[in-house]
Amino acid sequence: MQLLKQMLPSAALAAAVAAALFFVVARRWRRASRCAGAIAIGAGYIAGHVLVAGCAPFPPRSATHWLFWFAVIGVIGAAADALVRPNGRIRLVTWAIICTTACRLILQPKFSYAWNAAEGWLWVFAIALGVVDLTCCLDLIERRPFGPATLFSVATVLCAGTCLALILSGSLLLGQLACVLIAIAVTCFLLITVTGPFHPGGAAVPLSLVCAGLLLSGFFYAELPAASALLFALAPAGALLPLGKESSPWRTLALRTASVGVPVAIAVALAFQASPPLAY
Amino acid sequence: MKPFTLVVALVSAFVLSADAADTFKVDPVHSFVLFSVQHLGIANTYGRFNDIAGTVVFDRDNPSKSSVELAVQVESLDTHNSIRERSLKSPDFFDVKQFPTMTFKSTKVEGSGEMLKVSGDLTIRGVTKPVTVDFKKGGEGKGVFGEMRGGGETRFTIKRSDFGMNFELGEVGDEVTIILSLEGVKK
Repeated sequence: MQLLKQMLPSAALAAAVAAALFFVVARRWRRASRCAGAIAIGAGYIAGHVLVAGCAPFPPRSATHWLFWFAVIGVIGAAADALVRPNGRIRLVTWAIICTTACRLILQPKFSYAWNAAEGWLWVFAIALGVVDLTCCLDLIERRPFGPATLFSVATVLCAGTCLALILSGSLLLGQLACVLIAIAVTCFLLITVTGPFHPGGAAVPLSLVCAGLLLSGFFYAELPAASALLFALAPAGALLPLGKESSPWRTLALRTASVGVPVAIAVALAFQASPPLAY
Repeated sequence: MKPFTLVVALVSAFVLSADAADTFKVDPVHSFVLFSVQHLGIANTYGRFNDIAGTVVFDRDNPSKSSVELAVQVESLDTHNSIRERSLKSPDFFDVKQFPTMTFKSTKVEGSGEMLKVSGDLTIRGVTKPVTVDFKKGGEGKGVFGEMRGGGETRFTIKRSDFGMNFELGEVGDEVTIILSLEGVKK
């Protein structure tokens, strides 16, 4: 109960900021609607982050500070993508560069205390592959018919699992930051489904960057099991599996969300199994 | 004795006698870093760090030439409860995997006799802040193996939020009282 009380203010603020921006940008500012999802997620997360952990300094000192800046980078990346509209190959290369840089930055302490340069860069490239995979999967989900609603329902399940697993891994702070993402994803999902079909885009980049940052922080700096982190990163691919004959959009959405929910549930179960009792 | 050897011996003797400072290596077995912090505004919770290392240079004739350098391994945190330690070592508080060491390096030592005012840079979680503490000098004497020992103690208060430790400021107090008791072996 105490935990919910702690999580509520930041989640509520993030949801309110995301909803306001999502609605205004997507509905009233048509030219920017291609990156409305990114702006909503980025600004919502920044507001929630400030309430949970304070404003992050620049240059950042810790992985938690980087999560704040990843949201900013995600919004800028999505806005640039919406403006330039590059072809698929250039987008992939750009994302790969952004994801590799993000991984390198968040893993700086491991370079300082644990790894030599070669070992470190091997880790960075391997992890960046996973983050690019996560970004590509979320982007592909968004581009499908009924995509934004599916993306936000998948994001809700993914962030809910991440939140639970991070709390079980010993970090309430990271759990609260994941909870901020849940609030934003739920709000955006409700806005899309309640206010009618429209297609605000660009949510995949900030969502995957912040989510990947949380998972990396959980694995390297808390006690999130490696198998859980890997399952979370790969789970969105479940939403892209062929479902046979397409039926109603809602049924398809439910099936795609459920196919992401299965690996997410396994990841949470693994984190639960690895965690000591939460009570003192 | 050759003249050159004589000169070297005389110069060495002068240099050694001019340097009245004693260097003590911190004895981790007889040194303690204890802390207390309010929990829920109800009572204090206590803890300690078991791994401390460092050097104290003490010049009794001119204390301003003294210096202190200490390093504490955060992983050695001990609060008599492994679940609380897990939480304190996590990114929520000390973030031990990103910031494994806390350090103190003196910049100025003032005073004479038993009480010294030691100013220096305290680094916790990668944030360095200046602090000034009143250090009460203890006694000096010989250990069981004939080694020369010296020590002292200080008690001071810091705000954890000054060092970027902002999480659960309502539930866990902001002010942390630190007791540092040092015993060193003369080199």
